[in-house]
Amino acid sequence: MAKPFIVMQLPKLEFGDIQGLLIRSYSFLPDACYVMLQFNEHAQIRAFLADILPGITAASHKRPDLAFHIAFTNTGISRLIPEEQLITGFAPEFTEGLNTKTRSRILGDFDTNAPEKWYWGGTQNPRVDAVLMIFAKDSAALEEKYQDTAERLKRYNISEVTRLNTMNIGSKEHFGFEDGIMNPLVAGVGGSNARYTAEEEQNVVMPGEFILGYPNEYAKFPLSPRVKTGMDDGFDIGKNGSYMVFRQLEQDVKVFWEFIYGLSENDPHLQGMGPELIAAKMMGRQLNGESLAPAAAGNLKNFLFAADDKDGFHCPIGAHIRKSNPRDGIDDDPALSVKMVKKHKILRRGRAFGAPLSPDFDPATMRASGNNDKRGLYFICFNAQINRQFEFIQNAWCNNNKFDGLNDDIDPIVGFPFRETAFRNSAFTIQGCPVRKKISNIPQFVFVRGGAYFFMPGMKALKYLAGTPGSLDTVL
Amino acid sequence: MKTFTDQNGLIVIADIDANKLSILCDELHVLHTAIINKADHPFRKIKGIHFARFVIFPDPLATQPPGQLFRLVYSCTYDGLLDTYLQAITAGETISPFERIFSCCKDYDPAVPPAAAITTFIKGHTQRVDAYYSGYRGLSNDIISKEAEIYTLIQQFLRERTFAATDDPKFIKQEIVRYIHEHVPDYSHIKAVPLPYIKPLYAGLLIGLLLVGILVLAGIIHLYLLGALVALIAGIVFYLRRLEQTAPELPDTEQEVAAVPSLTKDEDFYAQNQLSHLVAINPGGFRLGVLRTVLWLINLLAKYSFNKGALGGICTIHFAGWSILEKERSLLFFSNFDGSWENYLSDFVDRAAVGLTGVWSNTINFPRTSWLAFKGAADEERFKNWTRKYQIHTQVWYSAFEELTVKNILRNHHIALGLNQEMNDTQTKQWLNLL
Repeated sequence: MAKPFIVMQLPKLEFGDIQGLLIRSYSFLPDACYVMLQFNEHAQIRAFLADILPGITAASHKRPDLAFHIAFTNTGISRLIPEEQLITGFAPEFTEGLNTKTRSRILGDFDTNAPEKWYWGGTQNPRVDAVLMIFAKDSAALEEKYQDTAERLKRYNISEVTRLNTMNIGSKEHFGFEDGIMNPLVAGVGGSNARYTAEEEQNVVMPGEFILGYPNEYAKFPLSPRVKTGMDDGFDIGKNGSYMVFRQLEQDVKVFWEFIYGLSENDPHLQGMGPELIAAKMMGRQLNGESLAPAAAGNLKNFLFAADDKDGFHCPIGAHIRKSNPRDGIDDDPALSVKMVKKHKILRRGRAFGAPLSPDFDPATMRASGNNDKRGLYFICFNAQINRQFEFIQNAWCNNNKFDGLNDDIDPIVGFPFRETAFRNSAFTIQGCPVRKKISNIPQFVFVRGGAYFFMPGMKALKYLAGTPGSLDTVL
Repeated sequence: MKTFTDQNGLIVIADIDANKLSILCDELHVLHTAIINKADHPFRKIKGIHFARFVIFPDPLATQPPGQLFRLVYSCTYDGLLDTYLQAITAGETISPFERIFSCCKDYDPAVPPAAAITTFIKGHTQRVDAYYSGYRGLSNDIISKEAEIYTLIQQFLRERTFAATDDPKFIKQEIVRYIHEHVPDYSHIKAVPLPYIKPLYAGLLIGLLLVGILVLAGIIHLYLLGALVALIAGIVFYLRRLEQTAPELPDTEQEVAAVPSLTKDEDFYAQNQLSHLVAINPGGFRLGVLRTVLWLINLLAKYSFNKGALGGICTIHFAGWSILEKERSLLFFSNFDGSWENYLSDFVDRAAVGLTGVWSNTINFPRTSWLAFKGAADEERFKNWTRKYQIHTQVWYSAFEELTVKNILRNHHIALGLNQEMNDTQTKQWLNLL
């Protein structure tokens, strides 16, 4: 059957000026590591940047053998751009930093998630100024690039705070669910005359939601930092860059499945519900990624809630995938809901760490395992406005127990009650006939163990940062 | 229970005695601390109060020019009559904090007994609320509290009892009703609250018709009169368009607002949050006239069209009000809402940009507008930064049900009403679905 196509006239993206990670997640480069850096007093940061610049992968490289990226935290940026050099500043959330009180209250980073207890990036850890990200086709290539980079760091007096190694665990995440199914389609990435099917359209988002310098979903250009150059307008150092959220999320897989099996075996209200179904209700998808909300067979991406699952009888209203992407389900206006949800999207680029609790992700084995190794997700995402996108999803949707008329349902997977300073077991409602079932006393399964807000500049901006302060000669 | 008790908004504004400013700040801090620590404080003892706040402006903590006049705002939402409410706050057990606070104002008369002094003071300094919205008109404090209790009891019942998938919905409802009957004997007195209601679309049509009617009438009386009216409207529109094109916006270099941490530190402690906002009205009688007209219209719509739990599609507002302060030539806005500031402001932009632009386009530094109500608030980032820039610190904020959202309150009301209703199968299923 021929599907109707929607042709959109889209802005031309400057792929040569955008770091490649913003455009692709490098699934063809399975080995990766992230190196957190600190610029100490004697660091020759500009010289280091000039040295590594030719090695940074621009998005115009469609299939590189190796990808290399750099992003800065607020402290890193302020070492490179003195305050008086800025005409308009960076986003306030970025300037404030992830590990501060206000951010903690918005995100729920209290108690068990508190920045005082983080492995890195927290209030008690060494300062992080920048991150280098290496993606390689195998571990040998990764190691080679890392060694080369480590030598250069030494040469320019830059210290390594920590090296985070990812683990290629396939297409699932550690609890055993298919992952990375949904990511927004960035308008303009497929060329300026891209065609989308009508059902894809709900997921097509304007580039200005993720990359500074392009129109966003409000048909406005996101506010972008500018530096003085002696010329009238200054230099838009934000252009073709993006804010990158990086959080190390540890998953307690054993506790997750123990809790689910416990419900299935002992809770009289959940009679007849197997552990996989209970887990699926909390996630909003089956383990194999299939949607719980009615969808065409095999269509994991394009389904809606309003028409056939308004009350959450299939996919509960508080389920993780419904809370973090409510599609057309908010309130009673599906078209408006789609339009609004587009303003709260993120481009996910995270990777797993640690070995799976069971190699074949078998729930029964995971429940019974005695392995205590650390595992989880390096959650990484891009957005043009951290407060309206990443923080909004975590705060107004996942952590909000009142989401869409609910009474006390925090996201059972990643939610944390932001109003309380101590973790509080919340409830989860499985809507259904004749009357809803409720799971209470849900323990915490996902823990924040580190993180920072970064800015990933465009290539020209990097060149500017590598040059003498205030000089544009190198860029133009 | 009475079927209809309207909620009223009270705003009291008075000059603060400069010598007592620091005493006042301390008093408000004590009250604020008592509220957040859930310790003993007077608001808890006043039955018909939904929300209350004290605001000092300008902010005494920021640097102010010498000789600056500070003013105190007391605002609250209460059930029923002002006199009943005044009796409640001047009762023996609640009066002393109010006395200590209001006596820091210039016009407070300490020579008369405090109950009389407070009553005279409040009545003498009441500020007109130009536009007022209530998310659940007619639901008094008593009703909300009773219905929340019923919801909690039903949750408890459903924890204790297990129902099978094959159980008849009507049987389940019957069991719930029986349980509630045992625990809340007077549940059956809960009645629906009748409200006059005009669909927003019809209200818009009505206003349009009225306008056309006036023009037609003018035309019938004399063609010159019609001509003069049309010329007047065209003149207003032309003048407005010219003003719009030259009105200065907040420059992008001022987008990072220094005051934000002092505001955010008090946010996100409950399911609800609050906003106090004060911004100067654009110079000239014209802007003031337009603003008054827009607020008058919004007030009417809020009372008769947006009285089903949503203001222009925003269903997270409990109470909100705009008030024009003559002395400062400023527009004051108070709001009590659900969820985070970011969520609330996003709703403003996505759902109600037109209405809000119609109001705030008459104040200074607002993002560039077009035809009075367009663009403006739709410029999301600049609108949010503008809002933060003119948001003022609320020294004391109290909410009677800080963990109940508008949707929760309305849901509880539907559940409670349903207890007394005969229902068919579909209705019973829908009712059970509310639980």
